[in-house]
Amino acid sequence: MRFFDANCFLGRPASPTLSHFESAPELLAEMDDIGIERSVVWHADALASGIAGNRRLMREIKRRPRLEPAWLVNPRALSSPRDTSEYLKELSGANVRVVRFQPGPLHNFSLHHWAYREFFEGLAGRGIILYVDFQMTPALSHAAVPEYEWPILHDLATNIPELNIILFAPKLSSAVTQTMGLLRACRNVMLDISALQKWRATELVCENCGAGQLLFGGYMPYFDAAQFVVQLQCALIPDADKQKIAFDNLASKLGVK
Amino acid sequence: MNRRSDIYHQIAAGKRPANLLVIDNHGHFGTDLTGMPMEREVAETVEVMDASGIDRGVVFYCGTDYRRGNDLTLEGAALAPKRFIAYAYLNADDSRKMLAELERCRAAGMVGLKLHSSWVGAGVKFTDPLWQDVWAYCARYRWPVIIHGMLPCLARANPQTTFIHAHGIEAIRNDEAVQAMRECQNYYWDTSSTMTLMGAVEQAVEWFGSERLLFGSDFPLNNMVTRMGTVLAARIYDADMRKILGGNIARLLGIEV
Repeated sequence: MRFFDANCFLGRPASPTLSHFESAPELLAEMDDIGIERSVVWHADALASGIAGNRRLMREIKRRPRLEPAWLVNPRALSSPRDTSEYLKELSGANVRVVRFQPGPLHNFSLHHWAYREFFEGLAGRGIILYVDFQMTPALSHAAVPEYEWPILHDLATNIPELNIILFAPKLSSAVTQTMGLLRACRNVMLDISALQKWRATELVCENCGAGQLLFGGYMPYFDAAQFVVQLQCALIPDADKQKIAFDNLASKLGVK
Repeated sequence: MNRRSDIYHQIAAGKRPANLLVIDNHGHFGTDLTGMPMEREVAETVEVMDASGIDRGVVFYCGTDYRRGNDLTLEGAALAPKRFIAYAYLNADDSRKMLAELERCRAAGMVGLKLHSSWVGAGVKFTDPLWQDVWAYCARYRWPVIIHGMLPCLARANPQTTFIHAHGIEAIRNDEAVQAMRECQNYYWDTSSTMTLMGAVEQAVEWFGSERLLFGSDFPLNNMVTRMGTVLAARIYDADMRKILGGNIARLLGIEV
């Protein structure tokens, strides 16, 4: 099975980790050992300093086609329509196809579609995927999607249906019913399987929503992506669905063959 | 060791390693976590175990009425007796009643004890004197005691009793628990955590050896397979992995490998 990891990062975050990837070669060696062909990667430096961190990321992954950049957007970059427009141009200029957006305590972004309308529509028009990460907090605790965010997420996805949204929240599966409701209502929302650590959650989502909105995400080096390789390999779903989740769904969104 | 084990690579490739005994040290029956009738819950659990190569699972109740809960555990385990190992469960009660229940459970074939800090009783501590007879009972019959909310000082104060710290791998950054693991040969950790940091199992093996680490998933709350993946993902020797996956708990319970 081919694997495309939707979520890993370089550098040292403020939250506790036992290991980190200082450089792209270190990450690539880990991917080789686990059996991951490609990864979407961001840089922890960008959590505090978007411009410097994103630049560092681009330097690190230059001429490494297995690594797809994901930029972090910081509140300052979207503080006015003009700033937003410039940021979007910068994204396009750098050929970046994934942006991470963190509504949790780190950046306090609002997911209301009217709050950052120009930004969300700009991403949709450029075919750039929005990553929404509820997990990344300074403490990296058992993050969950707050109850009040579900209708806001739903409104965002339905009001801007061309915007592709990928959710990252390992405790999401504690609310697996809401998750499936959102996925069924909003076909432009996807979820990574690290959120599905509850009993038979992968099987349940596949059965009720299909495999088309799931993808493989490991969140290295916080967590070990190899555990999710095992989770998917042993899931009680058809092999064709496993391959979609492991590689094809994300590759298709990013235009990777 | 920088590379993942042959066992991981075989399972990641969809193969079943030869002669690999896997025993999940931490699971629940009778707690209504799945919302399914017992027959279906047991059948689904066995289906997952078969698909992922898990030979046996330790099961126990966790909740209010401990006598009723132990009956439910026994009922579930009896539906697939070759696959499940039943432990007794207690909440705080009169010492004579607790010992009588342990006797009843032992006569019914139970071989260990589970306690949970959230259910044990308001204001009750595991250091309270009322538990002394219970620890002595478990030491006498070589019953492991698995505790959610384990206090490492228990292991130090009761060296004849074997204590398993449920979700103990999360304590890799807790100085008191780490120190107790270094000093107390009767203190074990299980790996049933959704927040196991990448490298935590390797770190634990390096610090304490592999003899007192146990694979656990907390099924059916958690995905048994993802939690097995946490152990499989570790960059440790095959021999250590075999101990953690099943050898250690087999040794504690006197199961012939």
